[in-house]
Amino acid sequence: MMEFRGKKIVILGERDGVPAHTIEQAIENLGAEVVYATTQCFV
Amino acid sequence: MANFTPVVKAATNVLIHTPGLTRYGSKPDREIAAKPARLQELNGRLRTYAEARDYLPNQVFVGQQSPERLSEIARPWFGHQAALSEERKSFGSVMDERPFLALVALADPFKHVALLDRFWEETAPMLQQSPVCKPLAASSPNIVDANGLKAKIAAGDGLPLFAGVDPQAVGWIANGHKEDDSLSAIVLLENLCGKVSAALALEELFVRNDGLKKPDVGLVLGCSEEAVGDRYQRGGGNLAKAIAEFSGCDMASGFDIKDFCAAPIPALVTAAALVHSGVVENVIVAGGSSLPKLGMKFLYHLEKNMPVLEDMQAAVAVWIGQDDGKSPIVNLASVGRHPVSAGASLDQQLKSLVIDPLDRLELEVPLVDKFVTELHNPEITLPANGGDVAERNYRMLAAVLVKAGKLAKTEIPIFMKEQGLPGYAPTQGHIASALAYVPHAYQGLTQGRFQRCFFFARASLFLGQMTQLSDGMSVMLERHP
Amino acid sequence: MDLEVQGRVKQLAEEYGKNQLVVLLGAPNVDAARVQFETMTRGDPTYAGPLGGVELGLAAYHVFEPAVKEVIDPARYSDLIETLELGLEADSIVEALQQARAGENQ
Repeated sequence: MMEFRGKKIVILGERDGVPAHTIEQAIENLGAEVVYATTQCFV
Repeated sequence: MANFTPVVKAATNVLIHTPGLTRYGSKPDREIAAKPARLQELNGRLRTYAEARDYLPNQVFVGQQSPERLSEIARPWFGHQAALSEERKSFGSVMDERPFLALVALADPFKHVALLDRFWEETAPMLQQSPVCKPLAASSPNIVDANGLKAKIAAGDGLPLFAGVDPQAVGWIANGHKEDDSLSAIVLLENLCGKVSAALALEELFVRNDGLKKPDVGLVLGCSEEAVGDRYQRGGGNLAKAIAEFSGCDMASGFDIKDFCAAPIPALVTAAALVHSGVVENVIVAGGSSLPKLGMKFLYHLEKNMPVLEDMQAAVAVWIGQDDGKSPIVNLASVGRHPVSAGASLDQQLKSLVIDPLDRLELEVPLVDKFVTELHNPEITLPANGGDVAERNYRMLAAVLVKAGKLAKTEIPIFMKEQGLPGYAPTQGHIASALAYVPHAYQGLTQGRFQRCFFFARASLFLGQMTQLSDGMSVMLERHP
Repeated sequence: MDLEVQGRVKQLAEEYGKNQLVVLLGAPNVDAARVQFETMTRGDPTYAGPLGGVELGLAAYHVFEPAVKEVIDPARYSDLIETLELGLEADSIVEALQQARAGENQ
């Protein structure tokens, strides 16, 4: 089982995949700290 | 309180083939600065005007062919002349670079642009012979002779303007201000391209529609991607007023709507709301071209032995006016918004932009003839690992509709084929983002068999790094009862 | 992967170390997911950016992968990510990354 508690999270989201904001919301209560979040857009 | 039903009275567009300016797209410009040899590689793969004009997606863009042809004819589309299968009345034209550059000089009121004398001699008659260019060509440009141009290039305080497949320097654009990046040559050039291309799309409206007169236009609404301003106000805006002036719409005022690539939809909605409320009788929504987006994927195209396909600037103009008993209606009750709480992902956007309006209107999915969204040409994006943007959007829309119980899983392929559209637009951001199809929709909702076309566009706000969110808006165009 | 992003991740890896950092990917297709996974572990396969030839060896997962999915609150996952799975090639992405990870461990 992956452990998020105490981890530093880097989120590489994508506009047409799962954007950073969505991933952040999903892991909000897992005790990890998001240190960098970005969403890429290719058009 | 006034209550006019807003309608789309006309919609036109224009494609301008600018191979010489492709080097000034954001990606080419940076790549060439890092590796000067890239310029020769780029120039070695530029298309001729005839190739660009006859390219099937470009033919579809200006209405010379229907979007259905893209499903009938297999790729590669480049390198093949699109055989016209039927006589269609196009709603736009494909323009050559040389008259466009001449117009860029004429559109520049501060005379930063200078044209080579023999280039102006060659292009001035072209402008007078074109019904779309002539109204914009009443003035004369700054002229420079060959030695003068050489001297400017050597001094370097600006950028040379190039034309043609074997690009020759035909002019110059100077930096506008020593201490103001917002008035640098590249920014001024970007803004002038947006101004001229939008003005050309407007002229197409007047040339193709006898009943539309310039004095009747009360407002031009810009929805393009540039930022017009100076160092104190980088995004001051209102390119729309400059476009109105250049086109001779003397009774019009203007303002711009900014929403990244989604801007045309809020612009259409705003235009319709202003007409509905009686504030303005006739509004033109003007989407001008994007110079920075030229050659965005050029490295991938070079790698795959393809021509540089992102050599087209594109502009669209839509006339919104009061109900005339026949034009397609802008249904303001259909507008879908994307609130902050809706989140950023595509499925959440589609719920706000499509599901909620369908529920509000109590409209079944089969009653919408076309869902119109991002229509980027897949021949441009696939080699760049960008996928097929249109297809991806429709696939997610289908998934969202299935989850909402509005479509059966088995119906997905038919849904995508019959109610979706193939991509064909140049990767000119807001132009590809549904706006490109408005002229086609107009035809379908008048002469064709469409009852309803539902437009939705998306904006990558996170690119400006002020928020992680995205945005979007939707609106339905309907056949007049 | 954007060069700025590569640079930033390199910086963060140096700051926090690979045992503390976890990378979560949201790529929409197999190719993008694979390239990003490679870049976070063995280095940028295109050698275009700061992570070209740099083996960060980070723990990187796509949010569709079971290891991530099972840790996320099911109601949240259903609300936020499930429909995206339906609209994208989720199974192919998961399989591709599992293969890539297995290759890395050899």
